[in-house]
Amino acid sequence: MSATYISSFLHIKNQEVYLNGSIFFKDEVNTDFAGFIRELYRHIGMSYPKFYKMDDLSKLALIGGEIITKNTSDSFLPEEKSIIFANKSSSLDTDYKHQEAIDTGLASPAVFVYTLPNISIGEVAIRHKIMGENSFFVSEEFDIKNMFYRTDPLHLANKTKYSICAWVEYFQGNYELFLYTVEQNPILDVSSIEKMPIFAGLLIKDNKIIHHPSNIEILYTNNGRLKN
Amino acid sequence: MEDLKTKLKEQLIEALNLEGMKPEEIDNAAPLFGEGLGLDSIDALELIVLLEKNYNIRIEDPKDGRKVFHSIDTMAEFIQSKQLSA
Repeated sequence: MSATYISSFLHIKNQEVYLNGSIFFKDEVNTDFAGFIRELYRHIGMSYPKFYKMDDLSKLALIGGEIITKNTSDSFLPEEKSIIFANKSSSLDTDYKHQEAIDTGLASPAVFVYTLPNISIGEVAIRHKIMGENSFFVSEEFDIKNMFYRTDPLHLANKTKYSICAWVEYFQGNYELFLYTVEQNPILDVSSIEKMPIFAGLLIKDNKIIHHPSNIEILYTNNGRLKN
Repeated sequence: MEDLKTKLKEQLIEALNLEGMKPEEIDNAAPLFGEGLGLDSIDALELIVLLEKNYNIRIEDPKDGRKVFHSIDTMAEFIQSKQLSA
């Protein structure tokens, strides 16, 4: 049985993006989600026209997945990669839009297809050819222990070798994404960690961040930033 | 007819969220699906809604959709024929 580690982590909120503890992007112009996410899409040089057709929850998840996968190894088979997401508002934002469309006349098929939160998992999976386990949980707050115990056993049972875990919340313009990846052999390596001031209390082994509920909580509650 | 095609392209860009695309960039004769604009099955449903919403035209038989939604030219011809026979 080998240990599991957090191989990268990302936090997006209030027009700021932190990747592995450091600022990755900050939008000084746009204060709304639509403007911010479009700017971030351009910033990372993404070319994926389907992005514009997605609902906001999927856009947030997709962009997060894009940033994180560019910064982690991708030597795994599609069925060795998993996605576990959670949020508070499910797909309620799109549900409302769908209901409004019904009330005013004709419903839009393109809106209707996003009236399930796990569609966001599908979008990330399609983009990155992920065909392993996937789950989406809805809870009032980010249930870190649930996320941990839904992920770690998959690795320890060799059901997966790479997991993308996220709290991906969107409702009426308010958004937050905390996303991290779990691996047995992370490439978030010694040198990069040594350069970063490690937040007090983070459980580290061989200069790697151990996949543990307390570490997930520390990274999440500090908005993905590492500081003294 | 040209006005209808231009209007149709504007409606198509808006309905299908074809970000950054301008009407003049869509070739009237080019296939909308496959190698053309690369639209998918959900887009096809949106086009059906577009016709109903903006032109009050219903596609009753899905087989008709394949011919009607082949290109902007075929869509415009279909709309015009329906409007003339109405």
